[in-house]
Amino acid sequence: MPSDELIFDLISRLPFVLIRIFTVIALLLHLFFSIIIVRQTKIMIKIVEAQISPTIYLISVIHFLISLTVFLWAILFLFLI
Amino acid sequence: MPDIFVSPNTRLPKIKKEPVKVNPFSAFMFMPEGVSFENQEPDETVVLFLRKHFITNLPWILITAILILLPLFLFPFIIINSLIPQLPSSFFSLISPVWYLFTASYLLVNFLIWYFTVSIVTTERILDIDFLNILNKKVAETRLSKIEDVTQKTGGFFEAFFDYGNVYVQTAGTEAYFLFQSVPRPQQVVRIVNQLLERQEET
Repeated sequence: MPSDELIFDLISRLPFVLIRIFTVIALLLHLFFSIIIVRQTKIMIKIVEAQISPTIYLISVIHFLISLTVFLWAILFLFLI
Repeated sequence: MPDIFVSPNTRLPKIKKEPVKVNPFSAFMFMPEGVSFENQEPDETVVLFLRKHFITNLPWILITAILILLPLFLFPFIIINSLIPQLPSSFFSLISPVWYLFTASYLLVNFLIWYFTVSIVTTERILDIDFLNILNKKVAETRLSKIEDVTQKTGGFFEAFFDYGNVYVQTAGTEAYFLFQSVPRPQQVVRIVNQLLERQEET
């Protein structure tokens, strides 16, 4: 029956659909987390000022940019390729 | 009338006028150059700048090293032996960056918590800045005049070998005591704080 085939097809695809959704959600949460790291680092370098503080802030910004890149790569890989 | 007894000033801390240039990642800085903190008063000098001893970072550094090395062996092993046949090998071009992104976050967060959790002793007060995690911080401070007692406690193989331990500063303020956790050279810290207290009492 066509309806059985459709259900079987959906069940067989379900794990990969769930993997895709959870991966994107996890990376989206991580993106927010990396924004929080940038904000917190900005607060921290105001509390304790040292010569190396701008470098540490730059590292946190680079971390955010990498996080954004991986998020976009995941969307591209999972839904477009 | 000549002075019968003149108190020698040799026991007072010799605070150098020119600050010392130090390694920014050092856990023990005496009179550091280029280090300041929020709400620092103009005539206030940072005498001690303390962090946890670097060796206390060993657990998360080891975990990071394992997390970096693991995919180099694990992913090829999974692909060659087809341990997850449903998973196409091209999927690892997504898993690898995600894995290393989370590893980098783990490394960065642990480093930031270590770097910004500091104890500061100045000529006027002591400050204890604790970052419990990336979201929660605790800043406590007290004037030197409110300090009642300074004690140090060391114990354990690593603490004895690398010369670090806890320094407890008991105060008469709202914060019952300040804890300088796992700081290097605790005896020296206690001596410097005591000398600052003596100087404070004399002035």
